Amino acid sequence: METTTKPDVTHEDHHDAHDDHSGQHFLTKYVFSSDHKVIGIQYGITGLLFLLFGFTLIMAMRWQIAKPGEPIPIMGAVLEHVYAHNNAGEPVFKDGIMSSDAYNQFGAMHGTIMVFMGIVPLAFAAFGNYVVPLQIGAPDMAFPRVNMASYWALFSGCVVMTVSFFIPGGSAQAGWTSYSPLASVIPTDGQTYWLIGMVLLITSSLLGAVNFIVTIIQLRAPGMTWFRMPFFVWAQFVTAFLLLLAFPPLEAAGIMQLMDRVCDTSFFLPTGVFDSGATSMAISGGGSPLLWQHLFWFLGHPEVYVLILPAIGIVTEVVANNTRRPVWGYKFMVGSLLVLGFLSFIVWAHHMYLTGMSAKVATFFQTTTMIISIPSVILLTCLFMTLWKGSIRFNTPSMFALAFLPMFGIGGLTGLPLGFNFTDLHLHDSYYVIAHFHYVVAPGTIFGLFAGVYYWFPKMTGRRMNEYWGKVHFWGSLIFMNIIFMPMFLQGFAGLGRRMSDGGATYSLLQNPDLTSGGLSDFIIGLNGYISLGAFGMFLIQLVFVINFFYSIRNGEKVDSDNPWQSTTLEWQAPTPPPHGNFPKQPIVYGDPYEYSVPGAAKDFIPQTQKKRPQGV
Amino acid sequence: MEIPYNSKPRPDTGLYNGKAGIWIFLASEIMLFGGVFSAYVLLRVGAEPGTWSMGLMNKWVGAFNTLILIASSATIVLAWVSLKLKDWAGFRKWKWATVVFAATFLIVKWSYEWPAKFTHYDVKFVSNEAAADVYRGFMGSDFQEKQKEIWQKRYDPKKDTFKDVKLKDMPLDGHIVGYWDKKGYHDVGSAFGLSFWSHAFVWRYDERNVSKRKGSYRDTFMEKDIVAIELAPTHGVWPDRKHASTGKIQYASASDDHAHGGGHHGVRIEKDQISRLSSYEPAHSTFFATYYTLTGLHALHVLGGILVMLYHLLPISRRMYERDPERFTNRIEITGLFWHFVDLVWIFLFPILYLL
Repeated sequence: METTTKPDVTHEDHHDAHDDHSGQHFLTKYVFSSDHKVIGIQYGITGLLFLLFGFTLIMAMRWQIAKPGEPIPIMGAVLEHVYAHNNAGEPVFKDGIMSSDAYNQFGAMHGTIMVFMGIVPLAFAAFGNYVVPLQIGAPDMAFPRVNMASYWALFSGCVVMTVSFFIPGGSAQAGWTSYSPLASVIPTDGQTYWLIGMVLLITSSLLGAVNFIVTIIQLRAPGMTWFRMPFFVWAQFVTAFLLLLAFPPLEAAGIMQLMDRVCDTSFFLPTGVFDSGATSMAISGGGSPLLWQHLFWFLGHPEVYVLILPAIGIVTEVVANNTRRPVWGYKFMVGSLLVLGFLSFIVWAHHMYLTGMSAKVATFFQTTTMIISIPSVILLTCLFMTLWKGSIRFNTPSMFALAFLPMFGIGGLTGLPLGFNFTDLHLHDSYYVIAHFHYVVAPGTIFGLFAGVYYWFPKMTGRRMNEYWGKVHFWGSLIFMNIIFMPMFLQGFAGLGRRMSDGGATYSLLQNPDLTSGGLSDFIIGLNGYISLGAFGMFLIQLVFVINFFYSIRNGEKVDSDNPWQSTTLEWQAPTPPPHGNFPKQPIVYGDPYEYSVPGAAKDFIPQTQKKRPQGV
Repeated sequence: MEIPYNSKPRPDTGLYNGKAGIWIFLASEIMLFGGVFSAYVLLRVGAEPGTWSMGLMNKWVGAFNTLILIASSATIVLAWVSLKLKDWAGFRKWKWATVVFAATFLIVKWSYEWPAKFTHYDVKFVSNEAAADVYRGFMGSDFQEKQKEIWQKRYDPKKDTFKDVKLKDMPLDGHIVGYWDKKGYHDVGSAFGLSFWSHAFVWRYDERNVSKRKGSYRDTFMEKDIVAIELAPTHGVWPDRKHASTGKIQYASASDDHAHGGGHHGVRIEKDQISRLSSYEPAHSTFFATYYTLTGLHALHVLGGILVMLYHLLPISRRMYERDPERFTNRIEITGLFWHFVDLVWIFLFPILYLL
């Protein structure tokens, strides 16, 4: 490790390295490993587990929304005994009924877990770690030990977050956005745990981001020029920059909120705050709650692109591979990606239209928000154009990728009314917002991630996942996703607020027959039940995936070659699964990433490493 | 398995991995400190007149620390140069010099600057009348004129904001030198034999019977059934030092049964006159909150730098140098880049916290 060799290391050198690896102890090989593939799989398992965990939280909440005040079946009794008690020593799940405190805690942690412990580790860290070095022909990440530190920082953060469910008072309950002054003054310790956990998670992302950027800049194989990189690598590159530059201000804000909670400072507490006992709080005052919102959303908006860009990258790989066509407008897409990355830093205040900002500021941010939709539309259009006249293979990854396009389209287009401040005034903080961003990240990002899991599974294990159950998983997910989120648009239009633990029952016309305006009709309230049924159905369908995943690791159909999808990119030129060090011989790149169906070629794909290429390519 | 370009630069980028990595990392560091800096700007611009407690720093100590850090930035370059010239002894000499400078910086901060603030208090009064009583007691009847002059000097000489500040909100600052309870006078040194960390406290009129933090000076303060404190005002508020710590201050007290030889050197302030008594701790004001957060975050970076530099002085590093001198030299260069950044952050911190 200490000496340097030129990139064209010989076969023998690598062979020795493999022998070193196979002699390693189990702990250093699979647990404290510095191999990017092992770390990628560690990230992947962690991310998938937390996605499932975050989903179970929302199922408990969906029960409460559909049947407010009724005990949760089966899990209610367990939660009553297992879950943390409140500061007064009473169970927050008394008699199996979810209290408002518990609802707030689950809601806050659902968002936090899904975003920071589910999708970021899976989309960015797991796929990035496993696939990026392979796709650019590198032996590993640039800093393998930093890579390991990054995973273990994430792991520590996840432990702190998980432990917070069981401390007195329970976990954080101020929402995943953790707005001050609420978050600063809640007397339970959950919020403090949340902040410490966030600092660890952010540290992990920063280490990861540095590693990705350096790897992509420095370790590209000979011939792998910038515009020969697969689009997925570009997506990870831009994502890494977003994490690198957007996360630190939130870390700063987290440290300041931690100071507010631990050292009684007033960064985010204005003069004259009263607590629930209507006594003036013992603080110096002079802080600004808006400051928190600015710092949070300065991360928060780029974070949206952190969630979506890796998924678009995966979808691009899968679409190109399964339409057997070059990606339409590859350079347009790369350009759009860079513009998108830049613009994502100057749109954050569109999350804050209701904070009383001046019309001029609001105009600026709604203008930039409208502009940022242009590169997004270019990306989506290029992908649709790629389908045009392709001979599409409808396998499981391909179906998830194809469904991603319209689902992400719905998510994106429904964002426009939220980007205009005059329409946002009505829709803000309603179920419409929930529907909008879930269309972006649930049937959007998560479908992209499923496509990635099905697509790269053969490279990781040497076996395919079951196609039949994969398709069952796909159709079930697609149907239930829409059953869950489509009605939420209606509820949002009707004015159902997003944080009500009774699903809006307090404001129903049934309970308040004399209401002349603002009441919620039976139809709107009644949708809650269907949505919750959809959520439970969604859970059952995910079990199909879980079983398929673990079953296929040992019993799946074996792949017949290193390149079962007949793909062009480098990761399929490596052995299956790739050994420590990846390539037996340094690959050299001769062509573009998506040379499918080239006229005059012997096969319908030309691997990037193939030296002999048809004329004119 | 080897990672390419660990010590030799990649021809088309001209960088070895570590150098690319440290620059990318520093970009994120800029955003981290930028977050707190932007908080500083926003909170300072939005502060009510008279609430931004600026000007209480010892700028000469700050200047000394600034020079120390600049010197350390020079020595770390010399360490790297020595290594480039294959001079291991020179490298050790300059590296140790850097460590010593860095440690001096931290020692000044942690054993002098911060403790001095934790044992320094200011008092806000329950009413303008209460404040006037206290001030008149030791400044004479023309105290308001003096005060106006002083406060305008400190807070906002350009705008005439003095009239917006109520007398009761104008803090009187100094050291607590003694207190009175029902038994009489007590010298504070003997009564509060606590470490300086626990001296820091905030006490408010409306939490007389509420105790939040255990084991702090505040608890002692409340449990002792104190009726009044003796505060020796410092030059922070009163530029003419003759009022502070000279023993000449007169105050009106009926129960003057203490055993001080030269009389009191502070002002007696009744507990009932105090609305808020606070040391210069983070909770004192938004300025101090920012001050401790920024300097604390910076001090953590200094500490990190020291640990890395000490690692480079261990025998294990010597062995690495012998095995691969170029890679080890690169490491020193990267450490130097980080160290320059830490230095640069302080060069911004010093003016915004001590001078402006």
